[in-house]
Amino acid sequence: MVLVVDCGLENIKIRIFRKGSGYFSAVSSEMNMHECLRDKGFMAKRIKELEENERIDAVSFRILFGGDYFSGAELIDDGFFRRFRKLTGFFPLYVPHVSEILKRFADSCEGIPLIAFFETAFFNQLPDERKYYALPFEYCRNAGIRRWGFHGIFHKANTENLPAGEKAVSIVIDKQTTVCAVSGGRPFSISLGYTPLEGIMSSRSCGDVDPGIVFYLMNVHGFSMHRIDEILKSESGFLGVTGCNMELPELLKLRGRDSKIDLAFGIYLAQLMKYTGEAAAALGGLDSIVFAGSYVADAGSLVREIMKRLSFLGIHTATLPWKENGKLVKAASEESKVKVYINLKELAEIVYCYTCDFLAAPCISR
Amino acid sequence: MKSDRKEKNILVLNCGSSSLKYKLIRMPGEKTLIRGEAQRLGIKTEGVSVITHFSGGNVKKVENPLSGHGEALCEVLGLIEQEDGMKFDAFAHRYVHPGDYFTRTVKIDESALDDLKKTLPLAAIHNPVSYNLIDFCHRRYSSVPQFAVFDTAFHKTIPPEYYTYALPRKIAGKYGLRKVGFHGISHRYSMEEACRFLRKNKSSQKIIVCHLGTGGSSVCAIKEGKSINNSMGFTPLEGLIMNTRCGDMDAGTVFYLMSRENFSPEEAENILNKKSGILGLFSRSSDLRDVIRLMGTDNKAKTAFDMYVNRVRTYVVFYSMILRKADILVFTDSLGVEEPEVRRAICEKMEFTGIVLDKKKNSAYSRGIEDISSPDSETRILVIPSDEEIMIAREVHKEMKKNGSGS
Repeated sequence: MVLVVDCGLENIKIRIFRKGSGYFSAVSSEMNMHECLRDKGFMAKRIKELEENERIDAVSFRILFGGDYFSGAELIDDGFFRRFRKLTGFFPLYVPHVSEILKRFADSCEGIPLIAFFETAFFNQLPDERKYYALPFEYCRNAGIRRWGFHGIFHKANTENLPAGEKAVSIVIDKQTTVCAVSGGRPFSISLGYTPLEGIMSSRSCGDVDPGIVFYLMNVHGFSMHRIDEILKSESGFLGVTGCNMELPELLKLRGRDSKIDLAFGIYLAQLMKYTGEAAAALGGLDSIVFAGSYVADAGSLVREIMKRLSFLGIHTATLPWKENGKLVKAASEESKVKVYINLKELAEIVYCYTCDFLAAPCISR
Repeated sequence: MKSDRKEKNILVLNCGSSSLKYKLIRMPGEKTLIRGEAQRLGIKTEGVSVITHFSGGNVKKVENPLSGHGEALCEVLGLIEQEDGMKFDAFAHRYVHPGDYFTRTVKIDESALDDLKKTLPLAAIHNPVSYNLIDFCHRRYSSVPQFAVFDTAFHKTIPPEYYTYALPRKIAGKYGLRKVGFHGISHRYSMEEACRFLRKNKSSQKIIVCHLGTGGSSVCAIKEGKSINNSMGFTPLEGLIMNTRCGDMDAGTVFYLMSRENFSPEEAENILNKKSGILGLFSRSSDLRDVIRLMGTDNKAKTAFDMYVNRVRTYVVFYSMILRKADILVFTDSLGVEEPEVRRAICEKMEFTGIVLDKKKNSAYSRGIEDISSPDSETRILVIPSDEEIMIAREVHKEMKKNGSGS
């Protein structure tokens, strides 16, 4: 059995996978990060319970941020902790907590390989001209102001089985929407940048905004930096435009009933198109588009809208119902110049598959 | 001597932060009678202010310490009257950022001046200089009608899904936070010239204009004669990478610079506006032409060039997507016209959007309007030297005919 532990900002989710059978949702569980940290014996007890029935082959962790230090999956050992803790400065509300959780697993899982997967690792391969901003050199390179990206696990999985040389745009529709250009297994653009503010709007954050607005509000209207940060991060997005707190699937359902909802969707789609444009420009063409993410199953109308808008590139939408092959849905017809897929795999499932690959690799001693 | 009553001499004034470009244009024939530029105004430099004055076939240079744009204008008017014996029927001022106060060309009176005054904080570099000059002319030359022509007016047709930021509605409404767009005079001129050159009706054309200047740059999407999107935003900071401006930027970096590096809001703004862009990346120069010259041997120059080009390409493909394929792609302003390497890199591997450059025509381009697209390009690619002054004169002449002023 393999445990996949999703280390979010607020919550920890554990899923249990067995070979060939997918995950056992009955024993998957979600815990509040802080409660988990308070109850020191909790993790050890849980592991013991699980081990009574069946041997744990590995525990994998999905970690949001790995900075410059982690460019792929890694076995968690003492050296790992030393490097991981160095990232505290970048993400002080996250790194120490996750580090503590990992430590507890390490203490209770002696002899079991623990493996870390990072959402940013894939983007360490971004070419320099895509990684950095047009800021004075010293701030970019020395202070670590660069595009860290996000959803690397999805973007990698979306594009790894495509033929060599394929120009693919990967779009992840999740709590945050991100767009990534991939060719030959390497990323060439990513919509999310130094912080989750940049890129595409979400339920409460604004996505792209003129940085001049920040200065205008501070210098002309006396807003504090913290107030603006709060506005952009947690009062904007779908909430800001519509006045109602909602996630993307809800927004999609309500389209056509209210002008504010339609405007929010219009802005969202425009931002999504900008980054799809960026990705296609980065690749110098477009052979396939692959969608994934926890909201993608509810976003069929969005996928069709994007395909309609891009029909001038030779995209033909297949007639419904779309054909499924395993968890891959084919959304474009046979004659379509650009192939379009929807990957219905869950993130934990992808991490489980990567864990099996990792364990099978000869470099791991068990 | 006053010219033919039907003809009007319009003096177009285009203020930069430390320069004043002027052109005396006889309308409706669009004949440039006199042109020139006053440089190094009101700033500390090693040299004194210089006016370079072109009239007929002659060039005249006047070196004189000039405190600001008003004083420079007096000197210029003196030159025009003494040297050339020419009179003018109107002043036409280019004005960068009128916010929500003006959406079309306006004849200046006291109430217009009051409204203009409210717009000063919107473009802290450009607006005050222009405002002061308009105010100066209004008092000093009260008999000559004055008009302000706005860089933003062309963009008033941008639809809500492209001008709205995903910010709280109340805050955006209260402070007027929305995409305004800039370089409208140039984008509009490019559209008109492109349609005239290709003998197309602008109402049937989908056009992308790349206004690539040595200072500011922006890309515009035009449909049915109307701007529907522009890469600049609420301020001229958003969009493309410029000589010293960063363009699109994660707002989170501003908070980083302020909290970790202890910069004040003014210092952080100064970094993004005046120390970033090409200058920030390349440090030796803010001029893309220097970057192009050195990028064969200098890695920093190569990265700066690639980043610059990538950003333009992002907007060209994005706008191709919202237009669902462009009929015309225009390159204008100094870098767009003078640098074939910039056009080549922007158009490289763009076949999928219908854009195919003829490399020979591109490098052979020398002057005027030319079509540099390959015969199998679905999008016509044009180089059009910008002439904002002619566009401003057209606007003002149209306005003068309408309300019969100055005659």
